[in-house]
Amino acid sequence: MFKRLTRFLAALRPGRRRFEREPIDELRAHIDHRADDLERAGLSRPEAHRRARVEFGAVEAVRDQIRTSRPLGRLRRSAGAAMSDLAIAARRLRQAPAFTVFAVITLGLGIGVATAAYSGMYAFALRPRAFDTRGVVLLNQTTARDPTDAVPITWVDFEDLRSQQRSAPPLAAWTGLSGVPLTSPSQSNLAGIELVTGNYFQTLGVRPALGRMLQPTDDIPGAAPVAVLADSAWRVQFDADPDVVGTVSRIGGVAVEIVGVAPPGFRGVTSAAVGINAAWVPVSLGPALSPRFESFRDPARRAGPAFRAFGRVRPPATIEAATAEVRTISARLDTTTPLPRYQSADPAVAALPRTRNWSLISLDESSASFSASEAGRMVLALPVLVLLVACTNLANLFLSRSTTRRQEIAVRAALGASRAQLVRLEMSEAALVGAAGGLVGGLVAHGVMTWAMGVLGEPLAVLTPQLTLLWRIEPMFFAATGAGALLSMVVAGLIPALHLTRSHVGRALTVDTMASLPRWRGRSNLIALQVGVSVALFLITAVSVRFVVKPPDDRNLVPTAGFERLAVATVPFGRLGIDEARARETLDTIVAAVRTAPGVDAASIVSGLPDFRFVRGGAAAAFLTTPEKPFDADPTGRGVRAGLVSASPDAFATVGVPLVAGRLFGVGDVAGAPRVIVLSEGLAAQLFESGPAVGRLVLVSAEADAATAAWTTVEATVIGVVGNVGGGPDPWNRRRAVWMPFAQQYVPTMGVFARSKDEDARSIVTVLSDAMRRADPDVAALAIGRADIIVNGPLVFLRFIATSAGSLGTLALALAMAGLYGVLSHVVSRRRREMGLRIALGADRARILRLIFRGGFRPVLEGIFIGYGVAWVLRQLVQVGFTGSLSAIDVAMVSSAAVPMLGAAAIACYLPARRAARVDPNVALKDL
Amino acid sequence: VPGTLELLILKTLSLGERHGYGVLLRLQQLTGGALTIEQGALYPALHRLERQGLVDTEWGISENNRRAKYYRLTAEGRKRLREETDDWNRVVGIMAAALLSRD
Repeated sequence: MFKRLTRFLAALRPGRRRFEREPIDELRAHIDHRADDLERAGLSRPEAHRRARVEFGAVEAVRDQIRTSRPLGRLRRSAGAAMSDLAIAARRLRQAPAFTVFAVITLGLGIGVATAAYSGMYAFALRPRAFDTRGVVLLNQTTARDPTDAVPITWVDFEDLRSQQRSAPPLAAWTGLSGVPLTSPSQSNLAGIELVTGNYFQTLGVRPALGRMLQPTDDIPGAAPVAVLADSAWRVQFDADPDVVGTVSRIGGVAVEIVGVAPPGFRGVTSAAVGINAAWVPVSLGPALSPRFESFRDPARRAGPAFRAFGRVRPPATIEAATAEVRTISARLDTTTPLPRYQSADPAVAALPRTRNWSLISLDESSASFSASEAGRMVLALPVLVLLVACTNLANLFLSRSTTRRQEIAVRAALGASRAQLVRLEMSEAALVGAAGGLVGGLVAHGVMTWAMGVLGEPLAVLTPQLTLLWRIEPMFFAATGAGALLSMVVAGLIPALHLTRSHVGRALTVDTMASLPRWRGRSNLIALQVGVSVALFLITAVSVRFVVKPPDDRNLVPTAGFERLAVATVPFGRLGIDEARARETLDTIVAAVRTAPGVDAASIVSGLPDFRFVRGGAAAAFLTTPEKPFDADPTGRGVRAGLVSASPDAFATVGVPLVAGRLFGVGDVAGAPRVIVLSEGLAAQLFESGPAVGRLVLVSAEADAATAAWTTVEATVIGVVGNVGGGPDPWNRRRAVWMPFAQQYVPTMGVFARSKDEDARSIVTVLSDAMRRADPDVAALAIGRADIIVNGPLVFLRFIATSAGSLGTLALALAMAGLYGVLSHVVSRRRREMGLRIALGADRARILRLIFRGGFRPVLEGIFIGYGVAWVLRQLVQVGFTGSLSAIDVAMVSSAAVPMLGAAAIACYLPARRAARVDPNVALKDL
Repeated sequence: VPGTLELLILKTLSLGERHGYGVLLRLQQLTGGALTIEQGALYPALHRLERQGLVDTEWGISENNRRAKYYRLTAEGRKRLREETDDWNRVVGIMAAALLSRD
């Protein structure tokens, strides 16, 4: 065995050269020996040699026979043939650069865009949930008002359900809290946490990455407070400390022991993205964390936090049986303790009956599962549609190209190429285009990902600082999309190759002239098909885009000139349990530290700008009126709405708001002094129309405390008017700011604004966060980052989704147009000889053009109608599975598909037609 | 008969190492010219035997003072020759008995 192996290796080692030479040498030696004998028998040397060679036969044939009988010989031979096939294919592709470039780009775009889109979705929502979802069922309460929506239940209902249940599955439940301060040794953050029943992790079967998960004994009222960290929080906030288990941190001000870390990728039962939940604590901790939990266990109340219940159905139990029991319990509860009626001003809503109508649905099929949700299914389908358009184009390109190959194939077949060889040659071409397209696809995917990260990275970091997305090209999507595209090419290349090689060699050769005349009818069917498929796909794409995105109104984007130089940190002192005195001290410390830091031009205390409406706890709301029109007399009851900005005197300079009239806050405007306010131009104009504002008295009703929703009204004198924040043509709220001195007006959410010396405030964001942490370790920022990103972040995100979905549709259309152009112009230029013949027979140029246009447009129009019909049918079919209403295919959509297609067809017809019409009949006839 | 050429080559080589042409000459001699052997067919057979490890090869200088590749039986080759010869004889005996039997 060993000997054989060494021999085998020895056969490999000398390399190709010796491998090929040796048998030849040996055979030559044989012939020489024979010649020697013949010479000895009396022949001349040349004659002897000739005879010896003739006797032996073809040396090469014998050599080949020896070589193919070797272990590697067979492989080498087919590899060699494949290489030469590839070489021929490469040559042929070089000869048709337009075809090649177009095919490669189409393929690359299709693969790249689909791969990037799916990789992005995977990062956000498709990643597996890190637990076995089989049999996991969610309890759904559906309401008469919204039969599709899953409504959470109260704790008391959950307890009742659990106690009345007689059969499987044992239910667990959770509820979420957001913006809970989570303090680690190094920093505080506002985090999302989930309060879960003791059997939560057991039911899911989640194993800890460190320590242990929560268990039933943790959830007994009075048990020691414990928490399990999410992997992302552990990494971001606890620096992936391996000794974190057993340490004590504070969550919502409560000291809790960290007992474990959840495995990477675990994000809760339904949460779509990793990092939304930072920790899991027992439900028994609820009352200490949120006022919503006050007497939530009181059976008389049936109110409080909203719980989602779930369980795991294990065979032999079935979901149906479990649902039946749950339904019975739900009906029983509806009679014993009916739900309170809707409180609504709309009598129709108030009259709706409220029943629990409980059912169990599989997690994988619930809307919590992205791929099962309706929008999710549409989003998932979009890139596939684009890929399909690309594949259709490719298939058609290959199809139309190989139909022009009849002759070449016939010649090759006549020269002895076997059918398999011919098919292999066609396949090689598809393989080459596939390889190049895959390469381009990889680059495109990389480019798209880089672009998306550039656009989204910062807004995401500001919006959800702990969201950890793993952005990368997922190989599985690359492989899947690539395989799909390749399949379409191979099939398209294979069908004509098989068809052509089936044809009789002699006939294909002899009827050459006949074969080279275009068979127009067949080709035009091809074009109609291509147009039909493309149009149908585009229309479906358009319908999906409309379903997925309602493009955000760009008017909501805040003009942020100058905001790039502002770094902002807002702190929800109220929610953090920090009182006014401590908050004032902390803010002073932060501002003092930041002001002297390098790179900082100015720093001030500002509660937030009216623009910050997307950020939770942005500028507080206020209502203003004049003493002449007191609040009660005002028809709206509450006066003019405005954003309340509490700010230190230097804030106007820091934010960059110019004084228009009067004065700004001075040293005298302190607590106890007469109340003063500064109005923005827009607000002043609204309150006093054209009259002067400075010196006037104003009633300001402010939301003093968001938690208690208490409103207090103060009377203040307008001492100045300043420019509108942000400037530009603004929607209502941006122009209306009422500025109050921080000394006189405290708001539970306050912030620090810092202006950087250079153009980009990114560099001083860390200065701000460091100062904050040093000033008070309990301080956690609600939002921290560059002002323009904070202001427009969510809109940037929405706009990104809208534009990327829209550009997918556009890409589909562009590909379809290019594909149509490619095929149609190819087909039309094939008619040159025919045109020459017609010209020779007396047709004039106008006639020729007309002929070509008529021929070219007909299949396109047919295709558009086919496409519309197919899309209509598809839409109806898709609609059946959707409760949300899909938009109808309207005139705008059809024309947005049809007009570009007809345009592409016109160009595709006109250019070759012009050439064809110019054909010299003599040349054309000679060609014939 | 398939395999006969290989068997004959093994037999030839059992009398000592030889190069390809020498094998051919010896074969003609052994069979008394009763079997015509395609010169070209010899070499694939030799290489097959080499691959099966039944013969070893070595380049050497022939009696004509030419470079030639010499083939020599390995121990395994000898064993195979014995087995094949026995098999052959048995088959021939059986065939003969069968064909000659008068019933």
